[in-house]
Amino acid sequence: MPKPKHVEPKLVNIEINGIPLQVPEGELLIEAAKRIGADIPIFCYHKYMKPVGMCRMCLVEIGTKQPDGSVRKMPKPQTACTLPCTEGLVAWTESEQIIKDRRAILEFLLINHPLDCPICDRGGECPLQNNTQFYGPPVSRYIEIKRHLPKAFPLSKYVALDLERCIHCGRCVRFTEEISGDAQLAFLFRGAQMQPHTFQLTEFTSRFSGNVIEICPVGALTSRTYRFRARPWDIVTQKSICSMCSNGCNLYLDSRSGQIVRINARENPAVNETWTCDKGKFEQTYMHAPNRLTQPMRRRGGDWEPISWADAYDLLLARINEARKTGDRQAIAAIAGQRLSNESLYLFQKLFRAAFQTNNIDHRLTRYQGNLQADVAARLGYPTSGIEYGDLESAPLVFVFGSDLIEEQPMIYLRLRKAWRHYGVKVLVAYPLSTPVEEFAEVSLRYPVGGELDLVKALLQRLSDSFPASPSQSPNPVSIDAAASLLAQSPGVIILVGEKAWNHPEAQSLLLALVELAQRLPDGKLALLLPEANSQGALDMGVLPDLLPGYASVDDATARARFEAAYSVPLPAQPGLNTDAIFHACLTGEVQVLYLAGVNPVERHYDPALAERALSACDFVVVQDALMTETAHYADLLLPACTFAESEGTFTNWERRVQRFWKAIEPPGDAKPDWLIFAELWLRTMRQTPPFNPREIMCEISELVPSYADCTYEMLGDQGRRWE
Amino acid sequence: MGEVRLLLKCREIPHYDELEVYEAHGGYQALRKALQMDRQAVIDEVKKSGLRGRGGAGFPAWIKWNGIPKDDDKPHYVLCNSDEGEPGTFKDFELMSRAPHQLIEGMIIAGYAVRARTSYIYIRGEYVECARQVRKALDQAYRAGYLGTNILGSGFDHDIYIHMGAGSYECGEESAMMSSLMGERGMPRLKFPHAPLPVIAGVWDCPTLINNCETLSCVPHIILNGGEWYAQYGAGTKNSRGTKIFSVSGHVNRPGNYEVEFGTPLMDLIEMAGGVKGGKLKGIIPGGSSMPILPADKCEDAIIGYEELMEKGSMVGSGGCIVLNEHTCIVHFAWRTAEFYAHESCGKCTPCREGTRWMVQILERILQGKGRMEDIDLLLEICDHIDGRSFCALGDAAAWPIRAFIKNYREEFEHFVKHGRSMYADNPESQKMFPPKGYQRYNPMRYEYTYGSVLADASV
Ligand SMILES: Cc1cc2nc3c(=O)[nH]c(=O)nc-3n(C[C@H](O)[C@H](O)[C@H](O)COP(=O)(O)O)c2cc1C
Ligand code: SF4
Ligand code: SF4
Ligand code: FES
Repeated sequence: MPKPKHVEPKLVNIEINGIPLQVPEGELLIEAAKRIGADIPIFCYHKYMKPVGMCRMCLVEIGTKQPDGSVRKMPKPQTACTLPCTEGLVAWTESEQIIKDRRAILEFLLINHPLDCPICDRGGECPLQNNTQFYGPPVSRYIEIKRHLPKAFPLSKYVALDLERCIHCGRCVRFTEEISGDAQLAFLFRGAQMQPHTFQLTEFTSRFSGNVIEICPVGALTSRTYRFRARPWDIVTQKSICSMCSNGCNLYLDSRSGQIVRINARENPAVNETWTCDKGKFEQTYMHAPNRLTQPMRRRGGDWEPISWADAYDLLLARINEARKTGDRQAIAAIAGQRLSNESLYLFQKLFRAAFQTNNIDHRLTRYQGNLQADVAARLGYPTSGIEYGDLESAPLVFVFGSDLIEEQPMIYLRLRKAWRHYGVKVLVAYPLSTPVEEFAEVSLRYPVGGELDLVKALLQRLSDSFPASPSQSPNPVSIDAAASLLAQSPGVIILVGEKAWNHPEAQSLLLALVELAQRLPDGKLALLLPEANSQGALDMGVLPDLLPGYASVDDATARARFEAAYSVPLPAQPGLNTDAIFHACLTGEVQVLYLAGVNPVERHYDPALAERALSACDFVVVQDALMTETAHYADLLLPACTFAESEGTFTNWERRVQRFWKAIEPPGDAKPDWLIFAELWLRTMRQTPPFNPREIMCEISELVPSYADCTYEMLGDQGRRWE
Repeated sequence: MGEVRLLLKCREIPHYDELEVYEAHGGYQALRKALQMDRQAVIDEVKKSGLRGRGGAGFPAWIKWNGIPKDDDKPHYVLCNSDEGEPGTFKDFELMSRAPHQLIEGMIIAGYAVRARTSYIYIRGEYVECARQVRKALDQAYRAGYLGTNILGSGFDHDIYIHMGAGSYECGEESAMMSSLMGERGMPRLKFPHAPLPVIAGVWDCPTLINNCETLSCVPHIILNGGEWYAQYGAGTKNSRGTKIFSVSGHVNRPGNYEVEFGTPLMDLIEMAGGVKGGKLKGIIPGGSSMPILPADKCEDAIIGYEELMEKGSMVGSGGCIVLNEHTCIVHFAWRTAEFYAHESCGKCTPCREGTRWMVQILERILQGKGRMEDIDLLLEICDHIDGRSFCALGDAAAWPIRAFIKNYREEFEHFVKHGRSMYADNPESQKMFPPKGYQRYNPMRYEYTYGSVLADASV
């Protein structure tokens, strides 16, 4: 049964350490104890996994209240992590017996533990150390020879396994089975020889392997990128948001002497729960890449000449004024990256629309660059029907269309898998190749590459009465029929659309067909999954040639008037050029100045050759980026920007959740945050006081963009807010 | 009192494992009768018989039968526990190899009573011969229409499958058996009150009736002759009815299976087995190696019965009656017992995984003459910390015997520690029972892990 959206829990009366309280029926005792602040030590229990009761650390004494008011105590202590609360439950967590039992369990755990804390990565933040400090025996009575096992076995590129330190809590094994579903780890052997490992000592290949390092309660699983690089007490931890995809995982960035040494998950039950993918955890290292830009530079022949920021601004503005003097509206164009914060993107469009009077701005590098307003939004919303992670759990059916979900949207994959595993949500998948989603999908439609449109048309045909059921050749008609009947029978289906749709040669027709499909289905919902950390923000902030922030059309005079009043300049009413049109205009020489902010079309554009030709043809190319990218080689002026780790701001993830990130480290050299560069240009061109920090920019956004009305930093907190 | 052969009737009848012979002696009459009866009436008959589980815990059988939901639409299963891993127990072996039809008939009746379509017999991996016999009997039963669809025209369908274990004692524990049957690692699952009982959510989350092989073998007799008839056996005891097979082994002249009525004095059972061999009686472990030992003086007036033996400080258990004569060195015996449990611990929970190994190490050190006086109390304390703290009863089963050995024969341990050698070191009779010199389970000089050296070479 899919999870109901909301249920009123039935409350039961229980008593912990003499304190009576009411908790939802079936809540685990360990969670109930947290409500009154009773500390029960744990090892194997993990909030997001099924309880197993393996480590026995959480033993408590329990009893039940009899009708006559007396309490019948159970003879043996019970594990609090597995016990569901029922009416009349009585628990004692601090009795003399329990104190003894805890000491005994810790003594057992420690007899074979190497106690090499001084050289262990976990030392200082180790649950085993902590529990031993609080509840353990001061000395061991063990004088035999400890279990001797090899240390630091490389399980994978990221994870090293120290078997001696393992306390067999099973968290890692359960994670790969329950959560990531790749079942890579298992226990080998039994009894005191039991060890977690991959089955045949093969490589631990998982897209989520990093999580086991975090959930291991000892230093048995350690990160090969973090090992021996820092100790917990000399790192500085800052809250952040992952910049690698649109899923918006909440993170902690741990830095030591200005270097990010480790990235951990930050719990957000509505988003990533407490997981990350390996890309976000291990591959997010670009802030320390050797090709960071640290100084503004201009091209002198084949060489780069370092210049000051003031000179860079002068040069840039001179070229822009020159271009504007030609009188040609098309002379200036700009493309922004989808990893820029909302604040930077907002200032970006403000600068180009108001200061440079052009609507030639865009952020899209996919084949689809059409008018979202007309194609999708008018019928469904921007650009989806407003799905959030939790909705996946309560949907009867989720249709994954044209997305290799685990690659493109790892956290949506995990949540979908959970929805299937815990709540029996059915899954339908359509993708040209085999994907991990297929393993738990009810029906899988494998279509020939590029056959997305045919597939949607075939589905539409099956679903409508007016069309005769035509024999379709792709894919297998049997599964098409099965899929169509599944879709028709599941009111409230969610369609998740991936990269294959955005990049389809006939992307617009495909999107229209998908919209039609969603509308045809009873209560059907569509989510067009976006590729990057702030793709949604770029849409919301109006980094589009035809839409203002908040999705008002540029030719809508009333909407424009609001912005004109705020900016005290008239704004151009004509829709501008989209990315592809900008590139073509570069080729014809119409665009003379092209400003690229944090975007790398030479690598990321669906047609890199077009981007390359356009950049070579354009007269003056400004590249503002943190790295010396492929695109940067075509620049005439380079402006060094900051990464998300070095500045403050917000990202809006695929479910329209606006989330804050904080500054974790200092920028290298002269690099400046993107928003600051735009603010300084604003000051130089408009002679108006610019915003001094992202907080102020967000205030301005919340005043002008209705959907962001309550997205001030105070309201966002550290768990973010979704706009409807 | 003498032997009462109900289940072991097969002993007297050659070829009892063949269908015709079994039928000629009243076989499958109980099934015919049961299929005519109301399902609840079958359960009531089992209730009247007072049958209790023969697998170890002695839980009243009818309560489990009656606990299976009566009006749900999930499939139900019957699971016969023939894993028989308890050292000293070999009754299921004989029941399966000599009277497989008796078990199959019992299972079909159980399946009928609890509305199960499918049953499994989980047979211990080493019992290949038993599995062959059960296989043969199943084939015969299918051919004769006792299994399959529409059994004897009653409209009741039933299938029985054999599942072989793979050499794990722990898989005899009912929840671990379910894991193993479902293809998972043989580790126990959460139990009531942490999770629903198997009769509500057992294998594949469906209602499952789990009974021991002997328990199910009793069923045809109960149905055929009535619960009251069965309950007359053992009427003298507090709450034990019927007969129980004891596998008598150790220092007796005629080791083997003996079926006796509850209420029989324990010493009568030893007499049946030909009396103690090679000396005077030292002690008896009445119910399999997991149970506490009864020293000779307590054996004298011990009566066989669940409550009766409990009062003496031991249990009926699975009926693996191990007899020790006066030449047995208890310290060696304790070490061997501890070693078994350390070897069989599944590793799931901390107290059992670490505690059993620790106990073996301490006992091994004592055997090497390096024991310390405080080790004896330490052993007792480890037992206390395992008992009742482990995930499943294997932990308890590892602790009980060691604790009983020390409590009852403390002077032997103290002697061993003080002198560095066994009290019986010079007794040639005892020496025969000592382990080979230099034998050590936990050799500190090698990795305790097969892949050890491979891993060590690969360190980062
Ligand atoms: C470690 C352990 C091993 C067990 N092994 C067996 C066994 O080999 N055979 C058996 O019938 N019961 C065994 N049991 C008992 C079963 O868990 C269970 O109580 C029994 O199968 C129930 O059947 P009954 O009610 O007919 O006795 C074992 C229990 C434990 C804790
Ligand atoms: S490696 Fe860590 S997480 Fe895995 S079982 Fe051992 S202690 Fe637990
Ligand atoms: S007591 Fe614990 S380690 Fe021992 S067999 Fe049971 S679950 Fe496994
Ligand atoms: S935390 Fe409860 S048993 Fe491990």
